[in-house]
Amino acid sequence: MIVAGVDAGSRAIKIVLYDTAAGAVAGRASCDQGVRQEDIAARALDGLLADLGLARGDVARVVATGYGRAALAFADSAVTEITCHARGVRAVAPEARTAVDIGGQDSKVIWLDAGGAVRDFVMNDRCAAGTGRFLEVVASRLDAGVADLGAMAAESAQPVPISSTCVVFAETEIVGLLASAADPRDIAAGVQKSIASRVASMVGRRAVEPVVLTGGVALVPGMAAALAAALGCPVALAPDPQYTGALGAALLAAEARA
Amino acid sequence: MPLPSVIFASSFVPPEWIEAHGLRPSRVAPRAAGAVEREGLCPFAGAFAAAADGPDVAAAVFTTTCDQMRRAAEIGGDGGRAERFVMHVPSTWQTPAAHRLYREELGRLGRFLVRLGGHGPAPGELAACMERREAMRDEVLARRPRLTSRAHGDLAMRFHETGVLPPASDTVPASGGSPLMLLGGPMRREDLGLFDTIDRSGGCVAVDGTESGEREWPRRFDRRRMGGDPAGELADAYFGHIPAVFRRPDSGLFDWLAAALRATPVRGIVVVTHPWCDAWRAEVPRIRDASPVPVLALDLAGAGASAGEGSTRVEAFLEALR
Amino acid sequence: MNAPPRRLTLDDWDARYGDLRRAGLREPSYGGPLRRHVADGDHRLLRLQFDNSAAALRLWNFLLTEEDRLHAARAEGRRIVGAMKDLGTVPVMAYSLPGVVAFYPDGAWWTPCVMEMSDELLAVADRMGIDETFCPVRAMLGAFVTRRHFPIPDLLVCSAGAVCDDFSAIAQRLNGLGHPILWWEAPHRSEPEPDEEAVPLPGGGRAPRAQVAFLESELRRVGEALGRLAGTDLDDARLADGIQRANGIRRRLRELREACFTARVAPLPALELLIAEMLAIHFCSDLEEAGAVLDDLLDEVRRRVAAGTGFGGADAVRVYWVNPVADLRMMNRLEAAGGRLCGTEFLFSHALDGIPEDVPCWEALARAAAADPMAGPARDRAARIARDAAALGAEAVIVSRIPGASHCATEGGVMADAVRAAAGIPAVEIEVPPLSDAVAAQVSTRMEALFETARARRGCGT
Repeated sequence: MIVAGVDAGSRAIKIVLYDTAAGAVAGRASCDQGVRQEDIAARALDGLLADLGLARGDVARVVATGYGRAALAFADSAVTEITCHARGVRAVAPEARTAVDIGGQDSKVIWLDAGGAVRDFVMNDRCAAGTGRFLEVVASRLDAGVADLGAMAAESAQPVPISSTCVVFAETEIVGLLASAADPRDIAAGVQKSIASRVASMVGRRAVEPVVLTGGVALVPGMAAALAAALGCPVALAPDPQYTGALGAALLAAEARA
Repeated sequence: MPLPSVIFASSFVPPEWIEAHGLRPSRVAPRAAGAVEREGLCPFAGAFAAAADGPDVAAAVFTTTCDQMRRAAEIGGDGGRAERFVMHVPSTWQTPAAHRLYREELGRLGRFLVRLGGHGPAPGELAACMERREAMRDEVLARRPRLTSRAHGDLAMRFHETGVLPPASDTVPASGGSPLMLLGGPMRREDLGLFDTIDRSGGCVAVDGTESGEREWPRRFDRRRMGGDPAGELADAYFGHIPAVFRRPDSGLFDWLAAALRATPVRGIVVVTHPWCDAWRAEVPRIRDASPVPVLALDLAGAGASAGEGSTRVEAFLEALR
Repeated sequence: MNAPPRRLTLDDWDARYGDLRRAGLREPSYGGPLRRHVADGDHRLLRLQFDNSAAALRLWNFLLTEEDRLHAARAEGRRIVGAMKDLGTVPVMAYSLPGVVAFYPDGAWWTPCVMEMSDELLAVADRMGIDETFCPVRAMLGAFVTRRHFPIPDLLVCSAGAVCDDFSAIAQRLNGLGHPILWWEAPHRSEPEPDEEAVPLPGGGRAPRAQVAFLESELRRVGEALGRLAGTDLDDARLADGIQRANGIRRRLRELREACFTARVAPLPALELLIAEMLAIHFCSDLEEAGAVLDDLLDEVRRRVAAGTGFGGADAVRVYWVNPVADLRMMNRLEAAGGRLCGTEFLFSHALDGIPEDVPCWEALARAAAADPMAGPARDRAARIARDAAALGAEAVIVSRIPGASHCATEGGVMADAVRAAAGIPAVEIEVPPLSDAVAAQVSTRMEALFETARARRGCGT
């Protein structure tokens, strides 16, 4: 039986097809988010199915998650990304007790019990200072791609402190830093540190090890290390971290059919 | 062995009182770097909360002069070994009861200091502390004309933190630029960069009316009362005099502003506020209305007003004044 | 007349109102269809869902006609007191005097929501430099400037000291505009020292005797001013009688809350319960009528509890809600996401606790004022919330932050941590602006995730 998890995030839509008979991921895909997100998601799902020689009728159940979950009318049910990420983490890192997800527009910290169920969670405020959006803003200011920021930060000798807790203010601060000839590599490292610091403040004193990092921002080199430094404990990177939520949604779909 | 350090950031905590209890008062200008950061949290309060967890701090005194600072007493506390004390400084001042309450709060602070390892002031000890501090405050003001704004800012900050003054030095010349009044909230260490910006841009700070400056110093002590009731004189000189923005009503602040502008002609006023500081931000329009000279409102966002946009605004303000 | 409980849109209420009238509904002078308030500019009603009972209709009409009552009071020559930054103290004194009406100007913080910003109150505040970094209560300043809402009071009384900076700063601006204010000091409630006499407070806390005595002197000072306004002294007999009547309202509210929170199925929607609780603060400018409104609600709730009917079913997640919301629609969203209220702490728990009647009346009022959760440390408030949430069987706690409010920057975290640590209950913080439509998806995600977590814990027995 094939089931699907569709994570309609703020920046990208991620899809995971799961084969319950094989007990393995059958395929996955992602595409940029857009205005008509249901159409975009449906096309991406159909494209993935076609690649695998399947059709929509072969999918027993679809669970939608992410901020756009309610907009995906073709899904059989919608579950929040907190529950889905927790389920995904349970599959890829069953020993994890704290999952940190840094996404495009929000970030979340999820505490898991020994069985992998959500014990508690927190999410960031309206401000995107601790999210991938911050990286996008900074990358644009530094004339770099988001993916390049990690390499730039790695070359920094002294990260500059970014003290603002708001992306808009921080952008102003970065403009000021550039005007004062600060090294872009130090700015990139400062921003990475700032995001890690924001997430660490969400964790507070409740970092329960092992800690696993998921979400698209986890792909930026150095992010896990920055978070580990901010938390004062090791942080493991989830495999294919951007798909964790979609994987969790697919697994929940499988369990609902079982 | 050095005396245990008791840190505070409010003008209504008399250092003389702590000193007379055998402890070391330190009115800190906390660092922006390392501050506790939270959505909606005043950066100064966050910086002071972090300072309270500092390694050499025996106790931190928070006051109710602003709600953010009052509540900052509940931030952290597990990172350091410092005791925390919240002192109620009445907002009202019109009634004898408010004055009595301030005096009682000083008494409560005193008992806290004794529990911390201090002792009750010996006869004459408090009065001696008051005389010594007053002389040093006079000296800080007297040195202003001979120093750049930044050098004077550093001097005042060092005096507040350590209670001592370095030997007078006239090697740093005063800028002699357009005289300005600073007004507004308290300054973090990094905010002193504003003084540099003012010096560099052709201005000088003639009056420091921030919460870190001389506006929030006590009046001169009455020597006759100091002999008989030094604690009462101390309380009156602080509580009965300081024209603070949190007072209800805050008419004393505007009386002070008018008098200060008469006493020291300035070309403009720079009102500095921290993000989320309600008390000062709400009064900026009234200050504009009350001021006969131009007013620049400057948000001490981020690492301070010395860099970027803040610097440009100060420079433009001084260009306009010229 | 007593239809089974159902949520109604405003359109539904048009039909329901006709049915009720035909069935012989007897209404007070301020009665009428809910729709008429939309014509007055209360556009948010078009997007809310309401309880369908006649008691709820009376509650809404009572709430939405308060300004009419105040203008009528002015026309009748009664003296009007604006009790600012006061959650249940000065109104008790004011309603002890003949010919005096007290109201809560801070209540204007709901006007931008109810009128969906059409009143421009926040825009007026913005233009005065009181921007969105301040609590939405800045709408009150706009209301004083435009004079299109409540009449300008004959006496403004405002607490200062251990209060939120937002309101204090806004009130000071109001004062700067030429509105005289009688300020009274609310000291920060401190823990009694080891050798200091402690006084028990309503709600279970305690305060140093000296602080209560100070508060008593401040309240007597306010009482003298109120007496001058009324032209007669606020003597002990009058105040004792006023306390008894205020306690009558508080008792009804406690009964209402208990009936709602302990019922297997929520007998009253969260929205109407929020509105009802607000009557504790200032009685919506008519103490006697507030009692009658609550009596009706209580009767309805008891009927529903007896019948086992209500909202959301027995499966709804039991939620303890902290802080009032600037957007009333948020309470609808709680239920849409699968939750129900099993406890609330809207920042005025001291206005719901009974004022002691076994101690001298001025001291009793001072004790009630000293119990104000805002006057004390957040950990005191958090401890009570954690205790109550556990006792009421809460499965989740929602701490609703008020945008810009100085106390929320630190308090929310302290409270959420306390309920997690002391009661083991998951908690989330959400921020609710006056119109929350733009953040609805984000808030819904938090609520739904919280409820998914709570339901998953049912299965685990945790």
